Amino acid sequence: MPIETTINGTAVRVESTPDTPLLWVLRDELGLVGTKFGCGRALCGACTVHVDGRAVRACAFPIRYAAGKEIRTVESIEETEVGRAVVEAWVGEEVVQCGWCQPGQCMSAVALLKEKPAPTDDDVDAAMSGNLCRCGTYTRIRKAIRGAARALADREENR
Amino acid sequence: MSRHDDARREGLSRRAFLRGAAGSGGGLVLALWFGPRLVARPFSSVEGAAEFAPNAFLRIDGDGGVTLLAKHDEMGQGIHTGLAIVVAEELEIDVAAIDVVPAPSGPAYRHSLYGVQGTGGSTSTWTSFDQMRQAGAVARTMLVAAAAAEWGVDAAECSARDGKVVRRDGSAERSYGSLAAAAAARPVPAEVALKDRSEFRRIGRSTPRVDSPAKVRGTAVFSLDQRRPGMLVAMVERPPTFGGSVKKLDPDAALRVPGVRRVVEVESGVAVVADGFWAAKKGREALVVEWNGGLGASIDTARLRREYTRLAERPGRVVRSDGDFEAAAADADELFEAIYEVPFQAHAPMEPLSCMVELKADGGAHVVTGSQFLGIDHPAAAAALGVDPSRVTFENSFLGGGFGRRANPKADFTVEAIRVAQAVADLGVPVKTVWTREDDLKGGWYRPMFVNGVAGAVKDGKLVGWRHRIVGQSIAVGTAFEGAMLEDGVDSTSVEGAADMPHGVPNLRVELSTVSLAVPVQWWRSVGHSNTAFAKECFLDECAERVGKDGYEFRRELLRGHGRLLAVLDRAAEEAGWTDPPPAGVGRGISVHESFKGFAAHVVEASVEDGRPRVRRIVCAIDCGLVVNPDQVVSQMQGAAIFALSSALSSEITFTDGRVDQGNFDDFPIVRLHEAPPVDVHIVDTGGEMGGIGEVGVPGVAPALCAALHQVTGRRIRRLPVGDQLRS
Amino acid sequence: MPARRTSVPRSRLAVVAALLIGIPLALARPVPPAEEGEVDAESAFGEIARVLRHPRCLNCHPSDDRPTVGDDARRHDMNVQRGDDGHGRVGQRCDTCHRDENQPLARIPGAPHWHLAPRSMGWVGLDDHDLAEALKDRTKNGGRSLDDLREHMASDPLVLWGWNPGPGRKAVPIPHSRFVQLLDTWIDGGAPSPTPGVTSSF
Repeated sequence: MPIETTINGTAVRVESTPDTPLLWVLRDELGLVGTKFGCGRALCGACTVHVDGRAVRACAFPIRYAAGKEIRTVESIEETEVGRAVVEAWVGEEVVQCGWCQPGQCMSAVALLKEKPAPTDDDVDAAMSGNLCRCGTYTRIRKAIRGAARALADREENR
Repeated sequence: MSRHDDARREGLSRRAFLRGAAGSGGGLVLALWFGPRLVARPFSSVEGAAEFAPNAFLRIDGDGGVTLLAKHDEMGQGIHTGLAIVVAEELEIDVAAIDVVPAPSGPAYRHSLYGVQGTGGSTSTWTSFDQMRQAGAVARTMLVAAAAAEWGVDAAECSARDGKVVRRDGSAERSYGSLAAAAAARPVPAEVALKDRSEFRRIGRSTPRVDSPAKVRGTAVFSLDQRRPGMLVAMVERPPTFGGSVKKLDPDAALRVPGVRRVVEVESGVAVVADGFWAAKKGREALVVEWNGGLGASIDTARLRREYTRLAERPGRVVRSDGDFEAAAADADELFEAIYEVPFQAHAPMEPLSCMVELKADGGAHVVTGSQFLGIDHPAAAAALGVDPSRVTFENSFLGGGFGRRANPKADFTVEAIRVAQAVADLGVPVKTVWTREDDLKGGWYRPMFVNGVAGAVKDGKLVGWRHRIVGQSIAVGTAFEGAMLEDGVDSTSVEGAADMPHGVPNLRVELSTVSLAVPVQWWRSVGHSNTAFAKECFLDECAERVGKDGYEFRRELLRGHGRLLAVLDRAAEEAGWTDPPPAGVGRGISVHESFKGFAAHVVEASVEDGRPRVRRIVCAIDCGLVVNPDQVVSQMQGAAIFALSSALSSEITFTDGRVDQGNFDDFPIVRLHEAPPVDVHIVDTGGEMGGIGEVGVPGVAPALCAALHQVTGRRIRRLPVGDQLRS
Repeated sequence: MPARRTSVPRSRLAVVAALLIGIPLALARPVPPAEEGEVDAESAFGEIARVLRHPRCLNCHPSDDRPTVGDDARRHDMNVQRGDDGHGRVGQRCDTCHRDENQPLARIPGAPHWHLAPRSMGWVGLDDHDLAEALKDRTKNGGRSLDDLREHMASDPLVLWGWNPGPGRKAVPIPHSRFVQLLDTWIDGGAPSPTPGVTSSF
């Protein structure tokens, strides 16, 4: 039975077997390859997407759970102000090395900042420790999140 | 003795095997880099021909688009940006205006030193520096000449600036794009003038990475992201023990999985070919395979440790011998020994391996992958196909991490993908062979396990004797590099960092026992140094303790006359506040090591919580000579420290009954954000030769960490990873 | 209604024996499980305590803010923490990874409303006596009556998951029906709290 869901604002009908992880529906069927594969067991966070606004590992999300949900991937990250601030901070702080984990990192950061616009270091530790980076960009990830939070706060103030 | 001197001068590394391959940096002979035959040739990976292609690296289109074909692979180290900066410096154009794409496989893109196309050994920047400057300067010279001809003036009256040629009197200017066609018609100059270093405006300034925006937005294309119409996905079930083979295969259950098209036996195992990743994975889970154990079936880490340790207690092949260690030992006030061990280590790049093959009607193929070593993959693919290399084309992608794994000396993942494609050739579609994380961690090609037996002799409060015995596999034996990398049976990468140690110890002996084992091994970020620096620096700390000296002062004394090592050592100590005591409960360790023509010192601060180390801070100083992009040097050193910390603290590959015990990031833990300390990086420029960066930041971290842990616990950690050793 | 057995429960015998011969209590534990069959309320609780102390239950009933995982009850990786509502903290909620069912290929356990028991229901470090007290204490047990408690343990899918934990995890080693039977015995027998100092486990 097809599954009806919304991906990046577009209604999508998916015919995949219901146990297919969202990750492979995105990558193999819809061609949305910005969501990355790193472990297949929700251990690395490279496949982080948003389901109804919350961070979810797409490799551990059988597509049947997507029915009626609102899914957002990195491809639509800049459609929100928080997303734009995160992308800007990530580029500005030169976080990236190989880049494979970074879409997932950014999606986790957006999920954090949406709920906690002024996260403490401890909040960052709690939200971001599910996202591995083998290149070791953590120092800069921290900095970028602080930067994005600051930029969002400044914008809020100037409003 | 003289041979060792030579070897030391050469740096005893991968460089050694390529001596004489393609000249070393500094030769400003244009023809060496791009002969006239290559001028204005179209490139297979880029659509259409450029209006102006002065050499194999640059194309300038009529609309002003500038493309740089990067001869080195971008795997995170920022080389696309680095090459662009160097080209832009001479071409006089904004770095951001350059579109950098991976070069296809081709002779023009050979490594300037290794002679085969590839990226590794922390060599990209310094071996390509002059070549890229010339590439930019040639283009600039031709553009200026074209404008001068048009204006009917002498070229000396024109100059290039910000993507334009301008007349010095300010009367006219032309964009590069508008000059492209005219420039293309001009002869390639035999010699070009390069800027003096004092004129550099881009080299040496922190410049944004050219690949950041696309990587953050998820639009950068990596190997695993590559798709083609009709493409199938293959997953290979490999033998659970190295050297194993299929005994009995029952494909029926796998073939019943919806989406599975074929189950085929290939050299490396059993391939499940399916419509997509998930079907392939489910199909592979459903396979019923009985395996023959093979040579590796009895490999067991506990036993290997015992056997290696026994070998470390016996003499090996002498690689270096200064003075007379035995005499010094006999005469010593104190003689002491320690065994240091490092395990097999997986590279575990975040992007698992993949390789797509599109077979061609003429027997050739188009291969799309993420490789550090097209120069090996290309001929290997051609050989597997049984065709001339000219029938095979390669397209490289961004690499989601490499760390050496994607520079496989036997082109393992490329040849396997060719075999899979051949096995289902009748389907007539491209096939992408993908690896899971489990495949990656269990699939071999590790940094070898090593055991080091180190002995020290102290006389009158001075270190007078040092003997370092190294036991481990060679990464060169059995590969195409065996002839070049081995000298008198010694793999230079097994002893690098030990055989060339510069410390002033009068009686110094280094020995090697090379072990043969069925575990496939290869270079892993910092290669032999990842072992030797651990043993060397840790034992130096033990020696310092014996003679009652501080680790920093002790190193300073032994390194007298080695300006670059001393400069980074002093800087790291100073920045870390070495002379001030660390906070209560925190230990502090220091190390300094040269590798890949780079000089790095590390200070690590750590405490112990619940029996586990907690790293508080890492301070490092690096001297790699002239720096192209300082922020990326900092980034590399920060990342290298975290990479090194994972292997120092927690990750390892072990064997039980021939099988790899680890499978994913739960049992191969790497450092997570909440465990990652801040890493402060300080660049030191002593005016020395240009050197490497990517690997240089790895070797010194583990020993400095262990020194810090010793300070807080009084215990010497002599085996990596630290793991739970402090709990018992 | 099962007939009460009058013999002294084994657990208590063990304690007595330990006291008599001077073995420290810590060495006398854990006591072996009683044979299946009818038991009195107090020994029934010993059996119940074994189940509650099984990693399938205890991993999500920590006494601090961090869940444990696996048969060896190691700390949950990824810096996962309780959060305000027991469903994790912002950015890493339980449902970031856990679904309503096990995911065998990913080896991720799952059940409906996967989350941590409230801190007041942290059982780590409690002996049988304190565990029984904590279970009965409405200020700690989420305001549940004994019947509510029975209902939770008899039918909550999250509890039932302990008997169907997916590959790589040991299930609770006694049948769920037996567990419910023991609960009935304990509750019907007045839900007594065992003598302090005993910690029953498998």
